[in-house]
Amino acid sequence: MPKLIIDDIAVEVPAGTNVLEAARSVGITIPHFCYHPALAIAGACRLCAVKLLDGPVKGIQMSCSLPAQDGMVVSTTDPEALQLRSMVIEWLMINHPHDCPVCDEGGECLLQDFTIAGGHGRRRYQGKKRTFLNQYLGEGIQHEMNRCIECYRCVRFYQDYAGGTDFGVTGSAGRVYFGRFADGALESPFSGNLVDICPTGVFTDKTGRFRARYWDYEFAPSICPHCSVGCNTSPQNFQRELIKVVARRNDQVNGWFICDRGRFDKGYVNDGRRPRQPMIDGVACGYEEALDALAGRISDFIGMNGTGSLALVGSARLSLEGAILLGELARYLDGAQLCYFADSSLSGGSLAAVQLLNEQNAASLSDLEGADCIALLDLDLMQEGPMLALAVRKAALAGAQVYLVAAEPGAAQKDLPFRCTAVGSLDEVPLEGGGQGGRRLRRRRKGARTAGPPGLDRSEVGHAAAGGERLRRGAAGP
Amino acid sequence: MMPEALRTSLQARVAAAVTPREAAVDVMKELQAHYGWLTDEAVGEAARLLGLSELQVEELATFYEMIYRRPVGKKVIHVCDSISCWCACCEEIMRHLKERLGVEPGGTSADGMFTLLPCCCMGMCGDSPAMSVNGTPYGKLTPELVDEILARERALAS
Repeated sequence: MPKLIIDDIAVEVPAGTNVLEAARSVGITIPHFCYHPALAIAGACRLCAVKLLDGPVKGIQMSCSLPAQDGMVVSTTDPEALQLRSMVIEWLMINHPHDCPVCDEGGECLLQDFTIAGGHGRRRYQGKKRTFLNQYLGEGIQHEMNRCIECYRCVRFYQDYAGGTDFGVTGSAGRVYFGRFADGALESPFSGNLVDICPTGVFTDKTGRFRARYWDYEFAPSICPHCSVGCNTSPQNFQRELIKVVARRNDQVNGWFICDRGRFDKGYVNDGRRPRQPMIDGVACGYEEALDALAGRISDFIGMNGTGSLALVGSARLSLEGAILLGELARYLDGAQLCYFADSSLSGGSLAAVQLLNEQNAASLSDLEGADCIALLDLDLMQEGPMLALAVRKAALAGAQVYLVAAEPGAAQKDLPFRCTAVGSLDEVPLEGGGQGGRRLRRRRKGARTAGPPGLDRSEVGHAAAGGERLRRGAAGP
Repeated sequence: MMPEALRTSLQARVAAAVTPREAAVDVMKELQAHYGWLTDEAVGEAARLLGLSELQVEELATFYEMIYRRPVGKKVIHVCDSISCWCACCEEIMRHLKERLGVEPGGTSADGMFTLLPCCCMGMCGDSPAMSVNGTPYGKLTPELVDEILARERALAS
């Protein structure tokens, strides 16, 4: 664990931590654009300069690409570092348009923040700015290339992290352009993250443009309701309307990102037909009045027909709070029928999964990312839980073996952002298979995971769980 | 459409590479030699040969200044504007060429003979200022020498 000194504060960080993160761990924010904790280091923006006063490296260095080492004495406030950073900001701002008032990023723009923080308030450059033609990138994202500061975050996310191939960087030098080969909707189901990851307004959320400013929004930490992965989100609400959804960091689940369904598919929330207040027989009323009427009618119904005739119908899409309250109500009305599923095979499968999953064998997305061997049951991963696919991709890039139990391998593999081997059944997953991954698995004997589709019946869930257990233990079968 | 013989030879080139991307520059150069410039159709063909997307081929094609994504004249003149040639007044050479050919950098002369492009260092700093005409290097340039070279290259073409 290297020990170093940053602005007179002694810091000890795990080996491999860069100086920028080491500073952040003691509350010092070094300005940066291209650096992002989830992406590979680019060293492209030159903004995170610090001065090393003593130790193994000396002078001005880029803190994002400098691993913390024993004996380093770092100054983030040295006049030389400050001057360099202010000049870098001025240079990054040379081509940036003065369009903040009509830019949807305004108020939540890293470039604004660091331009002000860097002390660059007056433009000296009088020449022509470089300009580009924008592209149509689909209904989710608005493109405005003139604002680009060439940090390469977007392309590093889109191609390297998410495995997309239809968006990238063309040209060189002052002509560098981030876009597609031709106008058209972005193909990656993770494209919306460009909005979050761009430090300025090159990519903005077209579904919520020009509605409100950052300081107008009400935020609340939330969980995405679209699939069972449970990605953390931060919905942005203005005057009782959901304007935007952005990712909320959770390293155990979704990391920094969410999929496009979670981000853009929100029309139903603002649907005018959605009931927004309690009603009795179609007439709006207060909550107390509605609850009293409901209690009265339930009690009348039970009085006439008995509790056994009453069914309380929930849904797997009900919020956790709602589902628990419905259960409470069923317990209170002893004898009422409680159901959450449309048919019994769904409820059987869910029950089996709940019973068989425990702290030892349940895997989080971050467990998946670190797994050595992953078996996917016949499921459409991009449909059932797109962020799972990104976690599997991360594992696969790190050398994990990925197997897909598929009836029609070609169809199931088509859209996956990682390579996998198709096998006929779970029993065919070769635990002791050759290759580096197999050897590592034998050595570490951990991190084998299975994931299956919804709608499996009880015995299928049991089989999958047994297979997962066998993989986890590294045993040779039941 | 590219001829079958070219397709077969390019497929062999890609197969011989450790990773297909490594063969991308060779494939683009061959296709450019065939079409005269790297047409949109050629980008698509290169993408299919290399197993890349069109965008990924475009990324490489637009990075390299000797891959042309626009139609060019019979011969392409690259005038170095890197530091050594700049110190040796390459701007005067560029100005002279613009005048003689009647075009701005990026343009093609009215007779379709020459396309004029600036380029970065060709490794001819010792003979600066330098330029190349269809791959033939010329150094120690003066306006008079440029006129001679243009005449010679024009004669060779006809």
